[in-house]
Amino acid sequence: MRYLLIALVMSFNVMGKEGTDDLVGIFYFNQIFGHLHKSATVDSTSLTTLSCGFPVKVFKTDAKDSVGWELASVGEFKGYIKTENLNDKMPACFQSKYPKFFNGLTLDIAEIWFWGRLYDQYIMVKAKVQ
Amino acid sequence: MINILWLKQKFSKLLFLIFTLFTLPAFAAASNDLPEATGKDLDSVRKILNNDKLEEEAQNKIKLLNKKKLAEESLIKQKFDLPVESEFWTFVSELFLVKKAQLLKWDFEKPDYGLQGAIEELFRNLGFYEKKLKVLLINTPEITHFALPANKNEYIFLISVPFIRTMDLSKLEISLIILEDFLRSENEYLLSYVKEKDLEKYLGTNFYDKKESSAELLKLVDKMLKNYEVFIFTKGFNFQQQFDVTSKMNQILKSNKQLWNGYSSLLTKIDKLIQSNLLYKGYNNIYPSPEMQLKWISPK
Repeated sequence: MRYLLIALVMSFNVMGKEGTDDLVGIFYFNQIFGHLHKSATVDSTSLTTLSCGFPVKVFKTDAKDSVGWELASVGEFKGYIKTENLNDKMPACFQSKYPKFFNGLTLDIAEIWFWGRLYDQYIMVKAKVQ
Repeated sequence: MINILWLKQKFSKLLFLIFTLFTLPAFAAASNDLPEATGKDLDSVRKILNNDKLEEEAQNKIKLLNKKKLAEESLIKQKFDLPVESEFWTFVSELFLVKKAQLLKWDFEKPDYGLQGAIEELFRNLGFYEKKLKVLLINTPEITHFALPANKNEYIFLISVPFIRTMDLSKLEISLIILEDFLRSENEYLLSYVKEKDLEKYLGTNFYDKKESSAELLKLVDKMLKNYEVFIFTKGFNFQQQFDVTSKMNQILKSNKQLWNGYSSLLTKIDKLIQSNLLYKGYNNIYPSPEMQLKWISPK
């Protein structure tokens, strides 16, 4: 819950500063933790860490090398987030469903950072009927 | 003069007496009527209230307030929910990966083996649909490959890049390793080892009235993370489990010659590796044994 609150405060701060010309909309981060990247690759610098339910502003981008990524702003930062890690509705986050239990884990900053990196590093395969 | 004054006094006394005599019964009658008149008023007020449904509205307001209070209490109580089992295992496995990030070395710049398409194709061809697979490449030979417990229809796989490089594995061979681990995961070998017997007592419960339950569950989680380590690094699978998985692989792949040959060639490669490379001498302890697996799949 505290991660979500920090996220909300940061995002509202930015909402006031930026224009809305190329704004696609507000989306929500849907993994337990994650990163906003400087460029549209998993190995690029992490600008900031996000937690599940974090609202981000998504903007239009014409960059051809950003397929599978969204240009987004979080707080004072503007960078890229994987498309699959964003929802247009507030997701049912593990840490929001079980906040007291989750806070009991007392994760340190390094662990939060690594948890975010996990979703960058997974190769996601969905075996579906064609 | 005195007489006139005296007469006036007498006359006024007489007037007062006459007034009192006439007005007293009227007062008495009025005071008798008073309670009767108040009762009628109350009834009429009640009637007005009933007609306006004010009493009903007041009761509804009380009910609404009680409902709101209960909803608020329930929201507070909800915060003390413990995870349900269907949402628990992916969380614990990811916690394990996070806690062991430095040891497992999964956060590194990875080569693109084009695994996504290859694994998807293999699973689809073999009829494994609606599965969500998460593959994590690791930069250590400590673990060669493994499937971690996850939620229903979700699978987390680890596969070592040094292991892939040493054997120069093809996309198909890597996909076959993933498939073999997928079957191990389906049989819940690791899950049944790491799962503590008291776990079900806590999962899906609420600890609002039992504050110690969350701490106890967290202790169990710690214990289970140690169980992961023991199984993955030391204990591994037994012969029976290996036999069951290898037989299943044989059964699935035998109708497709290319896939079956790929599996057979993979086992041969692994067998050679563990006999020639000291770095992988522990492989047999975890996956006994490629030599036996080759025998089990060879046509009789």
